[in-house]
Amino acid sequence: MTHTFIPVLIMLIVALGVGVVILSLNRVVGRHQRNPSKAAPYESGVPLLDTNRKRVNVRFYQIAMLFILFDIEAAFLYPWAVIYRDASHGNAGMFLFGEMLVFILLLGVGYVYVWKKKAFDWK
Amino acid sequence: MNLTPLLEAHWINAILPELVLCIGGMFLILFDAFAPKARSLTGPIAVVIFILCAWSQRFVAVGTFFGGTYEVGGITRVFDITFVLAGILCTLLSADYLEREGITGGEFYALLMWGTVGMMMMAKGLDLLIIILGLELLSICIFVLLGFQRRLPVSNEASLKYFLMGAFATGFILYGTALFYGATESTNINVMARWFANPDVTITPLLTVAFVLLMAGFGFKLALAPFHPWAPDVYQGAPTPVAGWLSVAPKAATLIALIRIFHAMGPVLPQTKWMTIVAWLAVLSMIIGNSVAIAQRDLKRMLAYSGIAQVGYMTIAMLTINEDAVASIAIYTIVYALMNLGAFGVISMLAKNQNDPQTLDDIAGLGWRRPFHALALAVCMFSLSGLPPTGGFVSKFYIFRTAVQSGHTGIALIGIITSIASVYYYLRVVYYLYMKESAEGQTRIDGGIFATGALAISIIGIFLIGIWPTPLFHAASYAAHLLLAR
Repeated sequence: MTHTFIPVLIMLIVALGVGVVILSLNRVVGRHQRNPSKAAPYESGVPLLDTNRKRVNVRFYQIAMLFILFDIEAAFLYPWAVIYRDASHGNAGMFLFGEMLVFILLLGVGYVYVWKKKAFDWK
Repeated sequence: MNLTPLLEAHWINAILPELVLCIGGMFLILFDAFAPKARSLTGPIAVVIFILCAWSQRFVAVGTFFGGTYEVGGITRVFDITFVLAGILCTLLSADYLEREGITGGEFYALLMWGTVGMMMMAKGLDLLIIILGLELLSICIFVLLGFQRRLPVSNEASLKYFLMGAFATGFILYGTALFYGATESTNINVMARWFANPDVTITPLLTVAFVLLMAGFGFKLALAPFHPWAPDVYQGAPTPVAGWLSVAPKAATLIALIRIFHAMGPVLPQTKWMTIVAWLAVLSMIIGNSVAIAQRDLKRMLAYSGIAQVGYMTIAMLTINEDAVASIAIYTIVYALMNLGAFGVISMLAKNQNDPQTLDDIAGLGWRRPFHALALAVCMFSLSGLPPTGGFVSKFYIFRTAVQSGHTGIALIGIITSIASVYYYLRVVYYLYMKESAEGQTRIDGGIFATGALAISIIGIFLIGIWPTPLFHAASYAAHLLLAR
């Protein structure tokens, strides 16, 4: 059972060997010239204008957070809509409907809250 | 698909207190958003909602609900009252504290209420997943409440520390639950109890690992040594009323959840070393908590270490789950809520920059400047150290008596010795209150009517339970009997 995997082992060793040999040949034979443009990110692109570690207005995060919240709401609505017709017979229909009503109501309260707190205004 | 069995008769009565708090919280945030000018009213409204929640306990339906995942009974009502009591005290203290610190309030009280709902879910959850759901609801509220003073570095530090470590601890609990599910094929505590009651059951290393993971996670939430180091930093940075609430209510919720889990495991416990692990946690907590508290000059850090020791005492009673043990834990949590929130309440009135530590020097000579507030702090300290005729004495007495009756004499002895040592640092506070001269430019005590009312509630409660504990103990014993009779 084990010996059937021996080719895999050989393959691994060969792959490792080739990688090590080529890289060390490069190291031994190749020429090394260091200069600032080689050390820069995007060596052959547009020169960087500024650092990327800047403070971003907190409103961006706020909008992103609200988007995710209400986006996930939609993600929960889909599976409910798919099973609603098949599952709703007898009491189960009212139960499913009530559950979704509560869910929407909770989100509605949150929506009204962030609206009144002016979280949607970009000021 | 048949969903009807999910809703038993009277299901709405079963979750009435939770519904009151959920809707009350939503009302408060909308009230805050629509009437920003009437913000100072949010505190009193929050108290009214908490009282409504306590009143709604009258209409609560008793039994098992939601497909056997939610159990309402006598003991959950006792713990609900503890949570509501802690909520009311914290709200009263916060009303004045938030105004002084210039924080706007609606969301604060709403988060307090939703956190209370999470604790009620933990207390009533008959399924490990419901307990974890409640725990998460509680934890998310705590993260926000801790960081409520968002302009203060210490408050942010407290919030971030609790968030990172709390998320880690929840991971442990979830992993332990997953392993229990793998072994017992259910997360339902009743089904697990039947599985453990089977005489042929063998204790595999898998189960032990699951138990250890569960205890590590819950040990964090309880601030049991060696999972305690977050507590002093978090209490120090948190808004003081929140620190008081955090040191009391989530511990009570975690304890009742653990009581259910330990009771389910009852039949196999004699053939395992699991309770030895719990005993070591209790011993370590009592020794570390009480000895490190002696070295603290910061009052909130001192109370944090004292809280570690106090939860150590409560854990002694967990070693053998019987009626007396459950009843004494229930009484201990009520008394602990009264005395710890009272102590944190006086500290919350110290009008100084909340970024600086509130040390013993701030309360020097307080007994002569503000007699009532000093008296409240002194009573709370006497009660915490367990001196009669306070509630602290009665609750400690019940705990140690239960431990001795169940044959844990050695651990009870360690508890008694360490609690004698603790008298030193509790009474040092009283010494500073009455026997030290107050210095020039001494910190002012700034207590409004609500906060002073909260202190009055705790003093009255401490003495009431201290002098006349029998009715409460009988009620708690009967509730515990119903819980364990299953």
